[in-house]
Amino acid sequence: MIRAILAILRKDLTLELRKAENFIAMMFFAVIILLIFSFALPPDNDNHKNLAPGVFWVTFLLSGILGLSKSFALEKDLGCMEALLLAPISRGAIFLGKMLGTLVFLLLMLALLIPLFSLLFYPEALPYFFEVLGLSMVTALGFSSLGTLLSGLTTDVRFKEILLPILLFPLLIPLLLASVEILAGIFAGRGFQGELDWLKLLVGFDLIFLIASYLTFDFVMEL
Amino acid sequence: MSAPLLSVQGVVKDFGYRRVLKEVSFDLHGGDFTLLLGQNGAGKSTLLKILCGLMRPTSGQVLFEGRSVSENPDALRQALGQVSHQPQVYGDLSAKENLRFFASLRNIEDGAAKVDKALAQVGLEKVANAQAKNFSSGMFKRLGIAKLMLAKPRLLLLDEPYTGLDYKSVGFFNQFLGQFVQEGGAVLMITHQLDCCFELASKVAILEQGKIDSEHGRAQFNYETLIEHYQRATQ
Repeated sequence: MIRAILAILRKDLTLELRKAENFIAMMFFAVIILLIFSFALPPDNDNHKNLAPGVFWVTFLLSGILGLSKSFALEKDLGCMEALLLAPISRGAIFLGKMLGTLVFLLLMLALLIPLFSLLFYPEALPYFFEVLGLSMVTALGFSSLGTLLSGLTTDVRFKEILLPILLFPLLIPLLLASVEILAGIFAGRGFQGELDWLKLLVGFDLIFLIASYLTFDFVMEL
Repeated sequence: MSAPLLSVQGVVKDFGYRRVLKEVSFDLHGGDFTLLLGQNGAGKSTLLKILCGLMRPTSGQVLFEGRSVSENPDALRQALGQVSHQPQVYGDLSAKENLRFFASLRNIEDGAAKVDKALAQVGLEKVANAQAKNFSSGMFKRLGIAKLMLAKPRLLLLDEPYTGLDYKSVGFFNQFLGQFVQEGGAVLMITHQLDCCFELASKVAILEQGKIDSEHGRAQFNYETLIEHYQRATQ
């Protein structure tokens, strides 16, 4: 099973690095969102301080969904999804391979998003780079777990670009709430210790949706 | 007679209120080469998807070596080789990378050497490192055949495998299929190009209005009667 997961992960990374268009689109979109926020909101330092955690995670969600929607598109292009489903591997391995591929690129995006966010919206964020990156790993895991499941579910559906966010965003509300609160705590200098309850919620969200998505992926991929 | 490799028992498939397959039943034994004929929309591709385990039937069951495919899909997936309308390869990977990826999913030992050998056998060794998206449909099919060679299946489900193949490639593919059947493998093929595979076929089944209308053994048909069956089925 691990061999199959790694093979799918390696294949997805190779394809993504070879084209890079998906990643470039995600980053470009993130920059645009940050610019819109910085132009739309009053250039008041207190205002930006209060809004910074929300702006950061909204930017992540909106640009991250671009990556999610493309995750299964490359399997559909020449009928590869069928070949993958007919391979003698568990559907759970397919889910984990695809989920990890998405996660790697989301983390790469977040690692670049933090300095960009500091540059374009909230300069005080940069000293907290490693704390924010640590939080990003936990948030991105939940996002990619649920997102990969729903992306697989909507691959064959008409208007999938619209349907995916409609299904995904309401379910992500606990993740968004917890991430915003923890990030606000980090920016306020309280670190993770000051936001343990929110951190538990975030980790719980990750575990529930990672396990549930792994177990239900088989049914989701039924035609 | 030996136990069937694949047994289709009363398979029904509904899409909403429309019944596409009506109690389809037949067996496929090792060494069988069955042609499944029928007009467009008769339900041939749907039946193939159900046989692969990609789609659940509304009722009825498919057994592989006596075990239900929906309850135990792993045994079928291990033994199955499939060719569909689509190339089922990643356009941005090279031919070699594609085969190595599918070899690693099948846990094939000494995969790299076997990939090189398969590519040479299908005549793609010179374009082994070229991205598959630049291939012609015939080259896609050859790559598909190389995938089959690597997988060493016991059951082949083929949906229009001759589309895009030139005369030489048809000969090569038929040679592969002939040897496959001789070694005890079973083939179920959907095709409209009867002249390509007539010599190999040992059985013909005609799917008409969602059910197997008739089945003929090799002794019961020659090329002319096969064409008659086909014309009747596709009228």
